[in-house]
Amino acid sequence: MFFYMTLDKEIVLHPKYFGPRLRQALMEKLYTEVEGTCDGERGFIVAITSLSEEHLGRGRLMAGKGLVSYHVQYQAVVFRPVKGEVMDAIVTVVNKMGFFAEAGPISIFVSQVGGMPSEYSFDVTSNPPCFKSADMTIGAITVGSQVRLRIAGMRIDAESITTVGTIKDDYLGFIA
Amino acid sequence: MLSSRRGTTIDEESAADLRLTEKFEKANCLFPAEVKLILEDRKNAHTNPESELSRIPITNTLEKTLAYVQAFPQYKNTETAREVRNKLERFEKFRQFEIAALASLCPEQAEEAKALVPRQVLILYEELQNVLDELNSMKDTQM
Repeated sequence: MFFYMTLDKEIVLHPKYFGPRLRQALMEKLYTEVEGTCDGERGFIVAITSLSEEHLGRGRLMAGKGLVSYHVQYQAVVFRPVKGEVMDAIVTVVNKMGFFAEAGPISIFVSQVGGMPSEYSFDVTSNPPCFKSADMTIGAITVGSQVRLRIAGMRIDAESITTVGTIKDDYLGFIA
Repeated sequence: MLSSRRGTTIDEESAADLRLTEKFEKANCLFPAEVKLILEDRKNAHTNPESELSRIPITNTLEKTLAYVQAFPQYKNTETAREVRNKLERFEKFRQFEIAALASLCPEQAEEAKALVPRQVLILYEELQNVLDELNSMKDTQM
């Protein structure tokens, strides 16, 4: 799920930036340090949209270092999967264990055992390999297919989120 | 262990009954058509030499996410996306998460909506079906 949130960060600036372009330097540092990162608790920070100007107060001089620390508040688009959530994804890798599908910045693994309806079996002869049902009543899942899946489980580490999905329930599975 | 002392911990989160950690409870949710508008704007700012964002590189995460939101045919333009959000927000019973989920998954039947976005217990089937019919009429049919 994409969230639009207000977040905080301490940005430290070296005295070489103390000049007319201070604000620009502060903004560039915020963007480069934050955008694209993944924090287990907050998810992936995809894009910063704005800074809270009223909160951009004075910097605080760090004793003994000469560096200045600013407390910055900003608004950003964050992507964070939620357990049980249903989302669309694009298949990127297919192997005999299951397939990987990407949704935004995350990659979701759907296992053949437990994650897919029993009708699906791995067809190694087709190129590229795919999962398909014997009677062909449901779409074959291969690289580039669009699928609707549910997030079954997540493992949240300090800097990454690993997700496992399922297409076994009603209204889930192959789209196009 | 990533958890807050009170409230829902990450382990207890669940979309099924809409339990989210505190920070996300209060946040607005966006559906892919809205994210597409924001990211395209950002990408345009990067290529525009007069913008203050032109010197900031576009991250791989942003590129991937932009490709993802562009891959799924959604609503035609900004006005349609705004209309979708207005229509859904008019129902006070819907929470932010449900609004974004319904707008992005765009189920055709109330049955399907209830299976995919579980927490609409307080809304009647007919009301829900009306909302879904309106959403589907605004969907971009050009694949």
